Amino acid sequence: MQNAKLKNTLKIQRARKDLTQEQLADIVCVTRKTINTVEKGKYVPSTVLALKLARALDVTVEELFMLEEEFGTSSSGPAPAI
Amino acid sequence: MSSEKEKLLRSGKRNWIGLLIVWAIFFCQHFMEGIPSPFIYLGAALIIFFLLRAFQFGRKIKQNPELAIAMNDEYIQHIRLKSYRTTYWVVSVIIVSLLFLKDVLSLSTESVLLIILFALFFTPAIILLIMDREK
Repeated sequence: MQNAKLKNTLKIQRARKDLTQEQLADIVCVTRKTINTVEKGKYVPSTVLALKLARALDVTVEELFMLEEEFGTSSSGPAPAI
Repeated sequence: MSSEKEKLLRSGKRNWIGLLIVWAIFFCQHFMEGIPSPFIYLGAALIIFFLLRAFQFGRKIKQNPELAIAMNDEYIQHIRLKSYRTTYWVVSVIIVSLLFLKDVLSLSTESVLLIILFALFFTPAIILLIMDREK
């Protein structure tokens, strides 16, 4: 669990909704750079921003963000609901 | 609003870089002899110019609360915090180095204070600019 990385499908979901990074940034009231860093996995967003992004893209937070365990070890039990 | 936000961000960044360069020149001038006075007046004029632009920038942001929230979002706060953390270590290293070098370097109290002030102002600004770069 310690090596868990946060993966996201932000780019895919954004493309599905036909939104640019700038447009999405406007909807959730952040800068385009914030969206860009989250999308690239360089920055882990707060729960509030994750929820805002999920709402803006009409998906659940679990669909947008998921844990990718390094070395192929998976966590036991369901993912906690945010 | 989007392009306006990006434009404002870019102009604010340019202003910061300009201000940093002029301040750095002023700082170096303290340790160098024989800089002609017109050069100093030009530097002072440039500092006033950049400060006025920074003031204008602040006013533009204040007029639009939505823009103010967006430009102070959690990522910006995160990199700001990181830059302050780094500054703490940089200033600590400078102070310890100066302590060890006090016998080798004969620096006045004013110079020591200026070095620490320089590090305090410039380190967070430079780190912020580096971290804010588009990769």
